[in-house]
Amino acid sequence: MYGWSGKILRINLSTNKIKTQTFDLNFALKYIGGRGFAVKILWDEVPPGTHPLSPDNKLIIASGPLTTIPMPSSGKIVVAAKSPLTGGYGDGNIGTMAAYHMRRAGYDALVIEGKAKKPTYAYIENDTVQLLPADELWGLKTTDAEEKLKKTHGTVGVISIGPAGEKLVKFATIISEGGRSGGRPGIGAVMGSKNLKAIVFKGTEELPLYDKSLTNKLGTEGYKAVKQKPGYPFWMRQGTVATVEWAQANSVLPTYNFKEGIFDYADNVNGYAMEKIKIRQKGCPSCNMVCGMIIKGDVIAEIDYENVGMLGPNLGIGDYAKIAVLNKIADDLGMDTISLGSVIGFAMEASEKHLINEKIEWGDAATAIQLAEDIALRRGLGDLLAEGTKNAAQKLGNGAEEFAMHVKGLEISAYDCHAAPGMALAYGTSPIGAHHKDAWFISTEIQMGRFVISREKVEKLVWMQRVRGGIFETLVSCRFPWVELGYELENYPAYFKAATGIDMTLDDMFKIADRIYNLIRAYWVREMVVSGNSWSREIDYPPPRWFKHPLTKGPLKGTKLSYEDYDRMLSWYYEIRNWDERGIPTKQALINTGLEDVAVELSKYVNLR
Amino acid sequence: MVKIRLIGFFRFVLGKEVIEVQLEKPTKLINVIGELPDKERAIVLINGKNASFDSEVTNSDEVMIIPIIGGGF
Repeated sequence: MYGWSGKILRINLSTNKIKTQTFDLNFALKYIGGRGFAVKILWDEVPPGTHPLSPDNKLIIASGPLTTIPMPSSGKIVVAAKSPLTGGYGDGNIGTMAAYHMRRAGYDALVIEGKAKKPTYAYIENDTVQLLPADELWGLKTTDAEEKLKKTHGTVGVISIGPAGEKLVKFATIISEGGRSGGRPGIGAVMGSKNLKAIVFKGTEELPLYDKSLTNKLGTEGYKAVKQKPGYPFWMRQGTVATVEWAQANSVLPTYNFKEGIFDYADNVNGYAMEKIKIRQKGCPSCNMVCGMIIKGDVIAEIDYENVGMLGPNLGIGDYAKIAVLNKIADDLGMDTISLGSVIGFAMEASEKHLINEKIEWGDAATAIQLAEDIALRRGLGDLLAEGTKNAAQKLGNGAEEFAMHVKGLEISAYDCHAAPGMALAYGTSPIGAHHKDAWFISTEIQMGRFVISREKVEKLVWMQRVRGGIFETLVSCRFPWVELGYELENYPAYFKAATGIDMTLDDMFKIADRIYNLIRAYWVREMVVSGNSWSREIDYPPPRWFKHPLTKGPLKGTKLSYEDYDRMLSWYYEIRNWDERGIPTKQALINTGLEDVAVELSKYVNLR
Repeated sequence: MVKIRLIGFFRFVLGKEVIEVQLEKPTKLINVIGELPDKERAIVLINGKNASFDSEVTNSDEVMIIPIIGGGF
């Protein structure tokens, strides 16, 4: 077998047992890697109804066959677990040298089970795996912990959690290299619940490539092709931060907790303003589209569009100096910036509506900064907000749920959808809750007619999920060369062939993507039903705000979503996926995608149609 | 005057946020703005409605040229 090492490292922190499990080509080709491996392991091994922060949950770090091969933007790993924020399947990806070293240590994936008695970190150097005391690291910021570990172990890749992960903040992430953050649905809290502060990788083996010289040749051509794309020079200047101007122009910039899609001070926080305070850029391994913009505000921080949108306009803050501070707190303490921006925005609105006693006004950066720290350390109001927007709203009641901006418990990322019905559906049907990773649909939506409600639009959305959530999250490589610069999708089967020796078309990859989507969906259904929630299609609805409170500003003033239109699109979505009208995969859908065993298991919990 | 608003990459390429041109008669957008790189990755809206570089524009029109992008991380 080429492309994969065929090895999964399993560490049980309760028993200190460490073993290497092998898998064969059938498994590899059925699930490819990344989230494919992750959901398969979670489905098979984590008992239904397991509390996400209990030792029975499993933390999975998974690469794919293209991870860190010499090709553009391949330096990523997926981190996954049952989510403490949503109760369903959760994952995220991180661009980090840990990806490089994990692969070269000879592992495709790592499964962490159980719970250590005391703070621990794992040191993995090729075949040698050690569980070491982390008492001196516990409580440290991610940056400080990583620095200490690098001092001890030299040239290594490190992923770690901060105080937020230790204190089980429901949207704690796993952090690497100061500003690389992954696992929005609280994967950092799962790591914290296991008393695991960090994982350190050092790998010195060669990747098991089928055709090394062809891989190198394709990669060399690929880097060149990316660089020659017309959009490259502008991308290198602003990266994703250019999206601020774009989102403002299209009335989708999240403003005042998603009340509006435009912000009066957007020009202060757009890509041009960012360029004035940019001091350098940072990329992931194997990347020549380095998109981490390091800015000097009141502190130095690494930002991208999502951070700016959620910690800026969404809070009414039009000042990079303060956005940098909020962003740095999130990275140092180990929290997701999107959810952090959402819960603080929620608190500002709750304060405005007198649902909480604390005073926190729109644009009040000083209080927002204090609150961000309180959330990470679970102090005062921060303790409530650390539970995430959905839980906080349920606790407050009195209509707070109308402006709790989440789907399935995961806070919505930085795109307002009052005037973007297809993007609302993308959030509604994203397999981890409201995130744009699987389908960022707004460009396509505007191209196809912004307010058009059609089956064709939904078909395009499903196609996009197959590519972004299917192909890129299982090969585990960054989507940006393709999606941002137009680097052709057809290159990926070619890389796959060079790495693994196996011919696979894009259509083959789409079928695997559908299998993985079905399995993730089955996971959600099983977990929701077993924990006593009644299952309904409403789980795929975006929050009431977008349907009830129209935009009050800008060229699209008065616009809101319609439940009727949304339901039509959702029904088409289910039809295209061969799911029933409840949004549950049909027996046939599971059988058609090679998941007969899943159909048997799932039918213990619901009647499959 | 036709008012053409350029977003992101297209603003960068042409070095202007807005282009205003006095037209003598309805003119194809491509003839007003000239050739652009990466044109196939552009969305053209005229008065908020989907159009193309071959659509005719008049003095009262507001045009927006938007790059296709893929969202943040």
